[in-house]
Amino acid sequence: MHIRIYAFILHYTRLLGSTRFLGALVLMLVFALWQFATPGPASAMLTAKANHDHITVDFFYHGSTVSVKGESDTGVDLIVKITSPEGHQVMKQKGKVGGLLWMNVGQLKFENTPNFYEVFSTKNLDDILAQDEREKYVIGYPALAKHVAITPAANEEEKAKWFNEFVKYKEDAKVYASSDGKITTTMLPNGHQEYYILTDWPYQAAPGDYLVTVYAVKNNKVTEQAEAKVNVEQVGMVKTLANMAKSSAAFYGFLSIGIALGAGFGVGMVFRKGGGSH
Amino acid sequence: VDFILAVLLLLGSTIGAQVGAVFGRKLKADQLKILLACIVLVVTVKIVFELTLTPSLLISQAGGH
Repeated sequence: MHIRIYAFILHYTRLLGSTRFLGALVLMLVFALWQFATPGPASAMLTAKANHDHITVDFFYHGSTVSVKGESDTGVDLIVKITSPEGHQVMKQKGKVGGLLWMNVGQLKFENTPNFYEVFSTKNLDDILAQDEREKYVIGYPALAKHVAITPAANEEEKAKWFNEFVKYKEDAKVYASSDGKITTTMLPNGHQEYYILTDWPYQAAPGDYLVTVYAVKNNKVTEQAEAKVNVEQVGMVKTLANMAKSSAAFYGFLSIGIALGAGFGVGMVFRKGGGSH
Repeated sequence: VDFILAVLLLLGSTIGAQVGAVFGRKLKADQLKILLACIVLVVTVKIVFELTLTPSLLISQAGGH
């Protein structure tokens, strides 16, 4: 046993004596000091909480609101990004046929595209965050345009044209938004700042999980980020009917026909009793 | 599916059919023909406008996940 310990100590004493080991040790020390000196995204100053993080879709659901609040360091600008998971979307492309009629002329495939994308910031994005950082974190439409793959698109000009049309379509459906100035900040006695944003949640946003990411920005760089989640879930009758439509489509179809027939007979009986016929 | 919209559609079509039947009995055959022709004309004009004027959105939903 003692021999083993001795061999262990001897081995590491020899290692300590070697120049390579000392060099590595100095490098590790320098790296550790650099880590301490440089504030990175791992800092835990920034917090985020979505106050309406579970939205239930019931029979009378017609959209909701979501508020995000938290604390951040003072002197930083903030960006709040709400996105759904990325997927692929197929869109019908309209074009002129015979130089006169507007018709569907083909399909466009959009890859790496979130179905829901909203970005809010304290100031104009171009003024507070460098372009490479915006592209790295996919913040803002120009960054999203670079992130998304569109086929078929012959060149960058065509890609930009169809991406702009895509954003227009999504904004029209209330599932894409980008604005500045909606986030309010207040100073706290502890020297931090509190931020708050209240945004409309459109009924067009499909059930599922949504990620809220808050970025603290300083000197054109993201210094911290925090996350929260929003879940949209169907409940009650709506959930039962939606599940039925997916799992037992035929039964759902017959049920719909039955309800329509029943309503027709019912209203017909009411009108007959009313004495309208002759 | 917007269920409120579906319910409104159901009620509107069933009640509307009954109201239409009552009015249909009160109108003469020629009057009904003119009314139907007017409806067809209005729909035709709408379709022609939609096909020839530049649409506000050049893409529409086809599918995806």
